Amino acid sequence: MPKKKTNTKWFMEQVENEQSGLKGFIRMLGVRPESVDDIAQEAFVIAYKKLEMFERGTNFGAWLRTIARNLVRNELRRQGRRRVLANDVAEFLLSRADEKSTHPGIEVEQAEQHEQQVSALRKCLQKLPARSRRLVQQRYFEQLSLGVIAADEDTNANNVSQILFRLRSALSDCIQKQLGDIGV
Amino acid sequence: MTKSNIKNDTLSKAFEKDMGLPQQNDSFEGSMGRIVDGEPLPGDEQIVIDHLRCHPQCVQQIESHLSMDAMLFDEARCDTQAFIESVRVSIEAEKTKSVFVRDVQEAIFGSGFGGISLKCDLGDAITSQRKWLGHSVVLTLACSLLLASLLAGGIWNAAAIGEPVLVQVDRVAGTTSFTAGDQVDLRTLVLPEGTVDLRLPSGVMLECQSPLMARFEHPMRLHLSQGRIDIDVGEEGAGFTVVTPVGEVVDLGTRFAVNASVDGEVRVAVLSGQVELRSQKVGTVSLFDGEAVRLSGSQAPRRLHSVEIRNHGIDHDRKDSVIHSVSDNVDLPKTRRFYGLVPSGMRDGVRAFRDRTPKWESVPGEDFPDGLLGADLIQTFQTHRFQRKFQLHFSTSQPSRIYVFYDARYSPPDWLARDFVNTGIQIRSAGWRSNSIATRGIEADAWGNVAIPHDIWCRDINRATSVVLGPPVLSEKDLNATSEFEGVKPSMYGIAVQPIAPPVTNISKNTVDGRRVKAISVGITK
Repeated sequence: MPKKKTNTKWFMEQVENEQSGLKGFIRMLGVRPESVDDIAQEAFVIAYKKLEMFERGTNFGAWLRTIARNLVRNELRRQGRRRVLANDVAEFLLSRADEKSTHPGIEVEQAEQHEQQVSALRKCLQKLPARSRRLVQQRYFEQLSLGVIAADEDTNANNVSQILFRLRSALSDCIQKQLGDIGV
Repeated sequence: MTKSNIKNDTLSKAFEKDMGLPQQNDSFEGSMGRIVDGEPLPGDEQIVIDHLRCHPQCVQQIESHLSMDAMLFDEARCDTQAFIESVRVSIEAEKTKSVFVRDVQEAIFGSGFGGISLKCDLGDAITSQRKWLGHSVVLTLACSLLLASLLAGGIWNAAAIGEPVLVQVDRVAGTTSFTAGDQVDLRTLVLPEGTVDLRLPSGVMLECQSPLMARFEHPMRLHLSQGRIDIDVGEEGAGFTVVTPVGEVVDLGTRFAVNASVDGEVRVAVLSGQVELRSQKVGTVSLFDGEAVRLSGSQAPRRLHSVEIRNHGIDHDRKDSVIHSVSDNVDLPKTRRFYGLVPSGMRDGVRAFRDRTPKWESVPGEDFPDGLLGADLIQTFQTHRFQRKFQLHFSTSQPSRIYVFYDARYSPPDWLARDFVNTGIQIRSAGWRSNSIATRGIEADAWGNVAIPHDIWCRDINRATSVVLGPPVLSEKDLNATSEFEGVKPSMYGIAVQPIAPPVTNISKNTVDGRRVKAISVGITK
């Protein structure tokens, strides 16, 4: 690897390129949304500290994801485990990610699609009916709990969770169609 | 139909049902949805894990939902640059840390401190500080704590080594590191066990709880890397500042608590007065009496639902609270109020509510009920008595008796009458203003006190569980009745929890009216 000054500049470029995909990957390991940034930041700092171990020419994103998997593994070993959603589910997702990492092609393909997915998501969000847009606004922008949204909408938290479920499914379908349209 | 129309139609179909959906409590999708949303119900995890193990399509489904959830959160956040900047700052700190840590080590342990050996040689430290005595085990623990903090970096990168500060040791419990009455020159404050109260020359009081690691920059500025300190700044201490890994807490004349955890989260609670939080990442935020927040990373401050209030009143063998995770469903964006959780704190004269000053007292002429003494107390909010959909959640860590103190002027709400038993005993919340709307219709007693009588309701649970209590609203009977209290809401209820020894069936007892207290074999929540 080049010397430190060059390393830092190159590294920060990687942070900019990889941060969004890495956060998505960490979330998919069952990490709570509010802890995703913290773990992603820790992964980048560890990567920087161990940069000399990274083999240039290989996939930096895959290396980052390995570090992130280890961080989540450490989190699951800790007593508090406050940063994961549900211990057994997180452990299952982590072991699944470990398995996938033995077929790097799948992970790399998913990571490469991330930017296109984000772009497709923006288009799909614009098509949402007003009430669903409001729900996205409440849940993701204002980060309100299910209970508070439910109180606002005069329903219960279980219903809000189900609507969010349906919303995410529909957005996922919409993204797939968008990507299909552009031949991805 | 064009492609675009087809897509719009698909989306519309997905959302057309919107609010008012039927509940699907036990379905995989319902359970998975709640887990992805971070608010699972008991049993959800088992349902999901069973499906994940047997149905590969379920694995894809949860991954798809988590991925979508992450993308939506990422879209919602406009702080990508702030995140990148925080990584930049962290790696800059990494670059300078090795030199800095060596400087810190030398400043604390002297130049003889070797970078290779981590063994604590305290010869220099003992002679250079008037008091830093104790058993070798304690010193080893202290050194370990200190070294862990040093090696972890954190706030030690933030500023140069500070000056020693002369402190008066006022009170000591569970530690041999300090002796009450001593005066100590402190630069670093390492407390591996117990608690100690320290008084600074300015009159600022620091109540330190282990494990704690802090360092004075000067008498009005303390760097806290781990542990909890409750601070009462008194009259002379305005401006006292606690520097934490995520920002500074500046006192504006108050009592407040700061708790820094090893994972980088900092919790700040204002017990009275006002403080200002200053952080490069989130700017300046004011916190007022009764408000508490959690701070971590680059995120905006989030509400901290409950704060443990130190109990100076009674010394009990039991140190840990039976109650955990107190929260409610009124988590509005700007709400930062915290529930006071007082371990073993229930006694005559203890503060009853977080937002009012009345205290729990025995009924005149009677002793304070024995069963309540030393119970864990939750200090609730009077303002919640107006919330018709109010729910209060908490967890218990062992078999317990849950007490609810309900306004005796009214019939109990349905949830209380159904799940709890009226013991027939009362306490009262005393110290209300005579013109308070909550006490309308109540005459001052012979001593001039205005007090609201509360019936003591209770319920036993025989295992650790989650508890949900409902709103303090009137029962249908009272709603339809005309009374002198018409138009007035009941006072907010109080809550106390007393641990009980299993088996539960043995602890049930007769109440004054001859009925037996319920011993419930299942948890209170769904």
